[in-house]
Amino acid sequence: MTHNNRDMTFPEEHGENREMSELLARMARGDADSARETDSASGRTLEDRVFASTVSMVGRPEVVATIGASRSLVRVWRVAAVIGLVALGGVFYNIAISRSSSPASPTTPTKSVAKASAEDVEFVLAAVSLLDEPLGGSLDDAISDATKLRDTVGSDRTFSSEPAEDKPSKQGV
Amino acid sequence: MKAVPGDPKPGSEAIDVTPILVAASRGDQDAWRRIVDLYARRVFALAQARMRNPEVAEEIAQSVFATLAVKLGAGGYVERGKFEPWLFRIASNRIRDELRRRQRHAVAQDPETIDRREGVRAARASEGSDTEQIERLRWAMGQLTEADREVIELRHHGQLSFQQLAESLDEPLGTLLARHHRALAKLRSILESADARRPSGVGREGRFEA
Repeated sequence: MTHNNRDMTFPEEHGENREMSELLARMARGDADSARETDSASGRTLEDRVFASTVSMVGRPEVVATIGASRSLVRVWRVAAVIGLVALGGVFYNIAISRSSSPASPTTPTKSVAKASAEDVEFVLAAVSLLDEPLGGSLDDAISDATKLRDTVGSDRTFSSEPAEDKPSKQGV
Repeated sequence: MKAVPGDPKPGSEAIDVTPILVAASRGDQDAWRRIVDLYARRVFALAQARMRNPEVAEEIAQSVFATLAVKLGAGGYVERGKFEPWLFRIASNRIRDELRRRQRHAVAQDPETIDRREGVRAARASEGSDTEQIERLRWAMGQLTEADREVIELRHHGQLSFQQLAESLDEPLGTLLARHHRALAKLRSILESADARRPSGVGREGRFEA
């Protein structure tokens, strides 16, 4: 690749645009020369000033790496915050629905499902807090367990009547 | 590089910038100085054409070279003989950003700065270097569309070859040549229309012959 040092001169355009090109070249020269308006008292040229401002960045790729890393970290945190807010909103929405629906009032199937899900989630959270253990596995598994647990509690069966392989005791862990 | 009619031909002063770029990317300050010497004034001229404010144009030039230093140092540029189109794309984007920013916040100008600038212009006009023709040309440039203006300014202020211009704007060479030709024709037409509206015999020396 080559750089043609044209010293602000321009190639000739062909035909009727030639005069226009020459005039544009004069305008461009004038614009380039207007850099002298900002020349400092110390006599530094535009190139001196640009170089001085650039040289501090030269040979410091870590600046880019740092900026890149911090930006991507910020992006990750932003995404996480948005997801968290949405999830929190969903939980509050379900709680609000479950509390506002009266037991006597007729409910639509959708509301029933939502109510049931909210109850399941609440039940799981309550069970986990009672067990004082971190929630492991997927949420679907936990909800399934919670449903079984609720059915068990709702029925006449006791925990001891559950098969040992289906409901391992947490006490021994 | 493909030869284009009317494009500059690399002459005896042609410089191979590839080794300079390689040295610059390794932090060689002499190489950086060479790059700044080669391109700073052209980037400044491009910014000045649009901003009409030398202080802002210089800020833009500094910002462009700071971006260049960061990207070159981080290996963000792979030399494929397209350095100038890449550099002037950075410059064009930076100028566009600044124009948008100024449209959002109408930037107030220091009266002292305006007075000083007007003084410099008046002095230049008296020297005959900034004639009425140039002022009319600036006005006509302002009447062009953004796309037409960009092509003309990159060509004449940025001094890009047509091939480089095509690469910078990511357009086929033929399309770019036609665009440039049409933009010049529009510019000439704007100036001729303005001439036709002027009273006869006044300021005819500023007319552009087709």
